Amino acid sequence: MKSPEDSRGSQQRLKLRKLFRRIPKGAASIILILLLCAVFSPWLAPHNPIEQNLGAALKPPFWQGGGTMDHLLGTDNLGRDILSRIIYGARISVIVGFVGVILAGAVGTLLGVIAGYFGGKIDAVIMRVTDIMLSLPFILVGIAIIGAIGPSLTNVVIVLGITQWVGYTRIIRFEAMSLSRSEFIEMAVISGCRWWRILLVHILPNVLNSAVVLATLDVGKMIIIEAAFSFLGLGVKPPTATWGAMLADGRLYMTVAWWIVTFPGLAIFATVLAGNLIGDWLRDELDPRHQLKA
Amino acid sequence: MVEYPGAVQNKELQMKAPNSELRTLNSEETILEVKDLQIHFFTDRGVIRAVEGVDFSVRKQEVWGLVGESASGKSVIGQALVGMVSKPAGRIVSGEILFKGEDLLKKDSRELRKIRGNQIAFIPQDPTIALNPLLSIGFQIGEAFKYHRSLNMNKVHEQVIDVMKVVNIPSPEIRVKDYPHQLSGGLKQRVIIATALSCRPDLLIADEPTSALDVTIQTQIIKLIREIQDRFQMTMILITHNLGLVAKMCHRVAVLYCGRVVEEAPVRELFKDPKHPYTRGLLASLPKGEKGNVDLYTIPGQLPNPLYHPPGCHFSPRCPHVLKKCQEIPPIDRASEDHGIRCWRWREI
Repeated sequence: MKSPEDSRGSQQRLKLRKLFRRIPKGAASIILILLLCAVFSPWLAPHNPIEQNLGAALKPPFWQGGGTMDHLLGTDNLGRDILSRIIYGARISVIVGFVGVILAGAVGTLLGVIAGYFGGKIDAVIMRVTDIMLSLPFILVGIAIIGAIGPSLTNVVIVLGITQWVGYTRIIRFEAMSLSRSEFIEMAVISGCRWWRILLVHILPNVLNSAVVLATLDVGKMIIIEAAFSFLGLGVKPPTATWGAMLADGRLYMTVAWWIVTFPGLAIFATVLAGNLIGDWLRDELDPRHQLKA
Repeated sequence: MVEYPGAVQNKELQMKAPNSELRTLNSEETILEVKDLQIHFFTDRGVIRAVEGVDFSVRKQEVWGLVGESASGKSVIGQALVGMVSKPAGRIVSGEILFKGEDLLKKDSRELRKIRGNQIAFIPQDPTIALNPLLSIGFQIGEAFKYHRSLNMNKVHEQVIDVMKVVNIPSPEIRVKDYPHQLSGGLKQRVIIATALSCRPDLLIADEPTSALDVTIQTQIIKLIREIQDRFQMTMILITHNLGLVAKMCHRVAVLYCGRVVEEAPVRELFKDPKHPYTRGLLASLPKGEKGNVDLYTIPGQLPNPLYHPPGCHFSPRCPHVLKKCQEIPPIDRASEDHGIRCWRWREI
């Protein structure tokens, strides 16, 4: 039991320490490395990621015969350093993964809460729009939008934002619906809250857990979609290194140079896994009921 | 049948109830008047007439009891008073709810918001589900105050601590930051009462404030509510199925059966001289504190199907004094100014 004399500051610090005590260490370090790579790529990468060196093409990683310490993870068919490309690619993945998820998650969660709380016509309209979104082949919509506004990183993120919110809306709507029938929401209405206050203060925090878990699962999906776009030439323009584009390029050489697809694939795998683990941890920690066990 | 929460409490209440502790109050000013309130629920299987024309008035500083069995419509009346009849099935078909002379049913949601939580507060049945699990109790207690009175965080905090002291929550300075799951049922109900009190409302509506709690906690909460009512001279509507609680708390009481008030009287008169056969049956079925096994009286039959209330007097199929005339709806007849009975035969029986 805390004593009442405890200053506010030290209690807050204690709370923070408690929060981070259970963070999955491995996942957290992967995310940290990813962020470091994204921010400091020019200093971390041993080579220029788009510089071609056809003389050193298709070099294997250093531990295989023919590999050198100069190219730790080998080179691709144009002689570009795989490690450097992965480090630079982290930038694109971080931006697409996080900004895309935040955009889609925010739009979807908000619409879901509104649909669930108000019900009736508002709900019907929002839900029919999600049905339409779900019935459209996503890649086709992407091609149409990118075709209209041109391929670029920003546009990929925008497309992700306006197409990927549907999943959030459907799940959050259901939760908001059952919440708005609950007694504590009625109590909030009875004590005189306005509708936006009920939405933002009472319902939103209660659905945020699901949204966060969905979001962490979606980070990986976003990165993979970006890869698909890059593969189709709708994403980031070719010489720029992205994990998805690396996968697409290396596909042809898979039988002779396994490292070209394996390492970006591993990077995607590790990022998605770390995202999911962090999501699980956040879900537990954000729930005040969990503090009993701590 | 009327449910009884436990023998211990009944005995205790019986010892205290019918004589010395019954309350009377001489207040003439009316704060709430309900006229011909009709609430229907439109369901797939038909129309449920939950409230069929209820009239009553509550005077300032009075504790007014509304007693009835489950499904008699008492909770629906409580919900109607705070404008929370569950839509879309439930609808207030007709009637007026005059609070301080103004009809609440004619107000738009903005005007209603200014009254709810501020002048009218509500204590719900089950405290365990009435608190938001993700917000600290301090925040929830202060919410109505913040909304209606002052946005100054220090003032809100002071008020929260103050109200928590009023409801006897130990060490409020530490407890403010607790979350609902850290509290016991009794403490949660105290927190709920604190949220209701934060704006010092003129009218407090308590819908079975103790039925979700165990017996020992019930007595504590009842004591607390009565203390608070005495201290702030608050007007209160107590909705309950517990006659012992009515005897302890109320000044006047109305007995509800199938959506109609069958008898209303000052609590002393109701317990000493009940007129309506239903009220008599209810009181006869209470244990009297005798020793040993004494068979309690039971009212024959059971509550009618809410979809098909019997014509005329709804109690007639179960009434020992039934006549042909009971096929027509009896009007409220007055034994005295305060004592009304909805029965054709109350003078004879």
